[in-house]
Amino acid sequence: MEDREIVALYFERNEKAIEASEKKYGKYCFFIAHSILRNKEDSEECVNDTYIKAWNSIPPKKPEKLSTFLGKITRNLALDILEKKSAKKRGNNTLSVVLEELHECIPSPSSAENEVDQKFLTESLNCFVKTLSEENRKIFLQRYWYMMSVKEIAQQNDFTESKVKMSLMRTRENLRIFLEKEGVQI
Amino acid sequence: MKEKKLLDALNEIEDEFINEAKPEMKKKGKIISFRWIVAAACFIVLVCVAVPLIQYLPSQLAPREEPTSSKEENITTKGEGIEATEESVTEIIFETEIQAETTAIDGVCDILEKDYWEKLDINQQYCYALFGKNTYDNTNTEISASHTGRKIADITAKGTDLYSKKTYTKDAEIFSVKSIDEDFAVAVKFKESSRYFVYINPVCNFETVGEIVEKLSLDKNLKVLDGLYREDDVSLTKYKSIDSSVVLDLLVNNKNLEELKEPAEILQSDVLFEISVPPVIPSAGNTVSVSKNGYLLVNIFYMQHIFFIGKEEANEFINSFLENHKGQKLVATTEQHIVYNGAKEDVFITEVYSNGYKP
Repeated sequence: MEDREIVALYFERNEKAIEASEKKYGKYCFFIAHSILRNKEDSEECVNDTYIKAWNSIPPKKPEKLSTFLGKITRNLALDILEKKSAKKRGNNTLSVVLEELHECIPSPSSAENEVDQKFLTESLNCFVKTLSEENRKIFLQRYWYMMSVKEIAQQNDFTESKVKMSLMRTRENLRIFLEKEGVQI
Repeated sequence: MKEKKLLDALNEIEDEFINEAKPEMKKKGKIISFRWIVAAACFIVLVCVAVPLIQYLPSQLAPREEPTSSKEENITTKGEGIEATEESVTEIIFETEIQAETTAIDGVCDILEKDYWEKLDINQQYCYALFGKNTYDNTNTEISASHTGRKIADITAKGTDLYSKKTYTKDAEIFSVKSIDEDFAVAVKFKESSRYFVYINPVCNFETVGEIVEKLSLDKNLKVLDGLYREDDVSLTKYKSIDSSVVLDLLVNNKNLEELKEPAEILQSDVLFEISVPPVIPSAGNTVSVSKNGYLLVNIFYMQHIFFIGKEEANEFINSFLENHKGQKLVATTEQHIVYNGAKEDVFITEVYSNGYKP
């Protein structure tokens, strides 16, 4: 079933929309959730919540690309679940490791006058990823959007783990420099 | 936390990049959605159990053809006014869901939980009812005995535990549901249980709009929950407390229209009503809608029934509805809010009251 047909079902408040979303993108959403949560039950719950949220958002929203629309919801929900869990039990989980890595990208406080809003930050990130080579961009997003482990990224792309680590390290450094140059204060 | 802010901002990165980095599922191999696994397990069971059974059964079933035919005759004559007083006894086979999805077959039983069968409710264990020419689906809806009508048959239910691959049987009875046509829905009561579960035939044939009204007794059972008018892609108006006669009259006035089997275009609803048909379909998600290009769409239990009422009548109905009802306009904005489960949304709804509507 085409995305526009599934979206049309959401607009008609036809529950088959959820069934069709699950059939077409269930595996994809589960992958995103599981990459973040590393737990089958939590991931399934997260994916189910994704459909509920999509149901409540369409209409009025009319996503052009349903896969990324659902993927973004799943990622947000999974991060939220993980944050709540982490708050209860601080530990060496995916989120804390990723956040630690991202700390390297934060520009120094003197480089800008005001904190930017989320929208501006996203625009800056979009500009930054455009400057990356396709390979580095893929590795960067697989790590920080799909939250895959270094090992998984290496397996997925037939790279060595050290190549992935090196690419991520350089991209993080370049991101920090880019944000500083753009005057982006987080 | 600054790092979290960066991670959140990444969420809204352009779709093109997200898509480009999309992992290939095949290479992962280990992470498989539960539904696919169940489907694959069903397929294995189908191959292992059903195929030998199909080869074996024809000769065994041949002598039973006569009672089945007489049962079908009973149903036909009932429609002509002769009420069947004797309970027809027929063997009905319930099957667990079978989907011929052949991917991800490896290791399915490793992932299914050992006690998954015990955790299912009885209607989920025996989720399909094959009766005569119809297959009724479990709806997870329970009704009280007072909503049931005549007993239709005694049955033997069968279901398969996909973990152990054991097949179980259970005695049950099926009843009609008051004021609902047996072709559309029945109530199933399992032995040693006092509960009645609604099973629906999702491909129930409705030749005309009138048949939908008749088979579901919509004149008595129809409830309209909400209405929605789509002005354009971002502007919607929501209507509450709509009298069910608005929808019922629309259906009855077009009762002779025949269902279109293959509509030529993707249809978009311009005015949509969310309906329920208690007690068989108590929840939301079923709709009646009208499109400005002349279509009447009726969605009942996942199935869409399409009729062409004509552009003129469709627009007349829409305009008359809008003139006589007060709604709440919903407008999409770009503000950010915290909504469901704490997640953030980039496009949100501002509620603007129009036409004197008070929530």
